[in-house]
Amino acid sequence: MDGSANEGELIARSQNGDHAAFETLVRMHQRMIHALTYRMTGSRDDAADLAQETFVRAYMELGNFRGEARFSTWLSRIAINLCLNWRKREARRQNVYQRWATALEFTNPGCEENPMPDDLGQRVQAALNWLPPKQRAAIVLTVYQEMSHADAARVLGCPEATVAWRVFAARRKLRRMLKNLNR
Amino acid sequence: MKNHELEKVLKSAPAPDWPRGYLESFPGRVIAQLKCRVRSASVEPRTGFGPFRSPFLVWSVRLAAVCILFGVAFVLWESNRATVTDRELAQARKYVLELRELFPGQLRAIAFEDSRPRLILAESPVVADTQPVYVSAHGKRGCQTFITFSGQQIRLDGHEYEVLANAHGGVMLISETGVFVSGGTTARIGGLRIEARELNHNT
Repeated sequence: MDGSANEGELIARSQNGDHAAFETLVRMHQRMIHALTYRMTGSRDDAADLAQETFVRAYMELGNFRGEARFSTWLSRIAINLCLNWRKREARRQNVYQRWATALEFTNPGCEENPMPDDLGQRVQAALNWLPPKQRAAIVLTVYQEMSHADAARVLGCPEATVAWRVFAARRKLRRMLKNLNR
Repeated sequence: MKNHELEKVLKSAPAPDWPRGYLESFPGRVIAQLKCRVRSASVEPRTGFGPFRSPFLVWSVRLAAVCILFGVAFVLWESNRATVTDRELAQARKYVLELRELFPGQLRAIAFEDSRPRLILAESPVVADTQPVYVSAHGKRGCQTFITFSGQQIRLDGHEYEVLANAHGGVMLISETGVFVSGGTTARIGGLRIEARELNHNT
């Protein structure tokens, strides 16, 4: 196919240090990666930072890309891992100061005192933010990236059955949180 | 809700639109970041911890900072004096430095209510690096104490006050009910006895 042949050529040139070729690859995949990082973090600022870091990391690890999976799948793996590490850092930080601080001034979508937002997009994102990170990753990959369970398992580095279970558990929670949106 | 209905709901919520200029310039920023990393690659590998290489050391420092914060609460609660002492101000300066390191660009204020400290943080690092200010207000509802920064807002006795500090150590609190200007002595606004000091200014 012309598209993948073209992409293959761009990857090969990028692996040889061609920045212009890599810039084209970034342009081809930036929307997808930004959407993924936004769904994983719920924060536009964090999504932008993580998207940039994804492509920087991808360039540095291009030598490891052998073409066994699609480039977009390989990129998604880098993005998801960065997002999951970001979540761990955020969770640790919140644990530390929540033990000592009694309240947070900024809006926390995971905080029960805050009501669900009215806007559909915000409600769905708030529901996604409630999911444990790995369940959220499974939903983002299978629903929004439209990956098969097998591909999602490769991205997440876990068995396909684990992905299937995470998707099942996530759907159960999302149904409860979003039931009033089903018209 | 069936799976396909749930999927329809999930997909109907769009990801936010990125401004046109942002996506156009994004690839260039990535390349610029790459060039920057390549230049500094021989100096330090990226660790994410700055001068601290060991996660254990990082968390030890953070735990120490949190204990210091608890110490601040205890000292300020135990003193129960209308006038803050120089020792307390010096300690407050240290705590500000520690907490700004922990939450760069996010620390708006530390509020002490009922002897418990509460961090007031911005969602993202947007807080400018301005002079730290100590504010204490005594009224019918008790005592409220804050460590905040010039340009931030605090809530005293149900009213919002903007806190401003100048280069000479002066502090001003502005609200709808009045204006307080520091002059080295306490003063009153709306039934509150207020004391405010700019922390970096040597008295």
